[in-house]
Amino acid sequence: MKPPNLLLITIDCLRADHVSALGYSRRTTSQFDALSAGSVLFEQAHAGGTPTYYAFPSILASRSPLSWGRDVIGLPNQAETLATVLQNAGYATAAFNAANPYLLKYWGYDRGFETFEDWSDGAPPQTNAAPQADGSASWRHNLNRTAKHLAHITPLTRTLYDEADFWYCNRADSARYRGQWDKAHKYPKGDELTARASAWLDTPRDAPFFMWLHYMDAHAPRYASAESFRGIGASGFDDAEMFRLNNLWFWTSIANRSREQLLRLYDASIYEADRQIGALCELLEQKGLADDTVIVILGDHGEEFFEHGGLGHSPPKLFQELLHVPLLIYAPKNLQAQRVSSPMSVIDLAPTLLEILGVDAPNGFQGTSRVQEITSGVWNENPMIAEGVQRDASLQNVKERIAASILAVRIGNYKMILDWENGTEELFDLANDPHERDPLLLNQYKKIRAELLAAAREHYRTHRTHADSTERLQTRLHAVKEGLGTARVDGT
Amino acid sequence: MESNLQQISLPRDLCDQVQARYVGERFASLEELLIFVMQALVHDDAAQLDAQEQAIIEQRLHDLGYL
Repeated sequence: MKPPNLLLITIDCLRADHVSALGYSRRTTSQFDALSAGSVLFEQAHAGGTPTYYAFPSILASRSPLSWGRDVIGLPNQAETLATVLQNAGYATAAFNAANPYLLKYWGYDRGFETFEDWSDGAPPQTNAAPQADGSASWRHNLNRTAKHLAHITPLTRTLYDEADFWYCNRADSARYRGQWDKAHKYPKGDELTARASAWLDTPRDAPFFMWLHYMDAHAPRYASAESFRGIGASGFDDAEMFRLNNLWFWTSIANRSREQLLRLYDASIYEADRQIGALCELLEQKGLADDTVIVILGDHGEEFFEHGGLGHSPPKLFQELLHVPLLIYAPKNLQAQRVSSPMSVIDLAPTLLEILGVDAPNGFQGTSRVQEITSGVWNENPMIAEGVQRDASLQNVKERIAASILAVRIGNYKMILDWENGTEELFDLANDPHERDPLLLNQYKKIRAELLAAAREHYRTHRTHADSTERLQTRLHAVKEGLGTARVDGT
Repeated sequence: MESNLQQISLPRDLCDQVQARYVGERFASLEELLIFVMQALVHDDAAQLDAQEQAIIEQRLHDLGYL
């Protein structure tokens, strides 16, 4: 019998508490909700790290983000992933990434995929702060930097400066795009991604397929259609207003005043991404693949809207608005539809999927299959770990990457965030404090604290062993020999 | 396409010595050797940070009377 196909849909920045099936008041995700009725829906799924470059090693390779060493970025050459395992098992494989700069071929994410489209030319992603080659155009930048530094000395001048700077920059930027707002869109829209998927599915093939689609519609900069605002039952924005809201991303001190508008735009963008779920399900029906395809949908990480003083998802923080993601597995022939309230880390997703497909998980996976628990309904309370490097706001910044990490450990409803840079521990009871506003007094919870620290200790012993470092280096050298143009050498 | 490689200058006599002694069986070229050494240096830093963080956890567990 032919094994089932696997369709993996990841939606960038989709936080769980903005999904209507998980209790959100706005109807943002009608397509996700409809599919969830026949699926295993995880109410407490956690990302392995945040942002995207710390989230995906867990999703695709069942690895803790720093398990290869915090100097390693992307997927190293020897990593076994869902794609490499399924390709070896005879699956046809394809991936379409809507140009997320951290999921490119350049970072090794093409491994195991026969077809891989990331809308890049294979070059290193652009950095935001490219230095001026000849210094000729930098005088304005330097002047502005000096003025900003001086203005930020007092709160009043700081506010005045930031307001003026935002007004000037937004005006100048919007003049550039007026009448051609499409050019301000940074990523391919979901429709384009789905069309590529449809074309790939048109090719007749005997083998089962594994397809991964990564949508960026819910990621800033966000541009939602009037239909999407209507869909969530909210008034919309015109292009110029959405452009202004997207520009606020760089002026967080001002953005907080527009939080309601930013959330409305976020919700409409989720609606945009959710439409693609419906389109893909329809495609599978039309092509006669619906009955033979396991569908998995999850957010790679969440998004912050000032819950803990920031906006977005970088540099890494490990609060629930960033870690708690929606996750469903639609496999009606294998798993009975149900809602799972026990916490589940996405590091366990890949081994779980492989067991559903009847393929052995490789030794390199660090998670474990949860099929037995889904089937029996009796769940082990495995500690859930998420991690990242605290100051790492960009993969290209090597200095910030080789720095103190940040670790979240959760057992049941207790969660601890270990901040190695500041030496702090914060302990939360998520049952009584789901938004992590009131850390518990550590000396009143010694036993729980010790359990969480012991889980952290075990994590370091088992997941940060560096045992494979020599092999990793050797495989990188092999890549260099194969062709210098595609070799990934850190920091160059 | 933007290159992901960078040119550096090294003393020729040092390169000749390293080439003669180490390039051949294990490393196909001087570039390979240098990349290996440079990445090992960075990786050692990363491993050291892991070890430091693990030691702090163990100290805290010890202070709590669990180790």
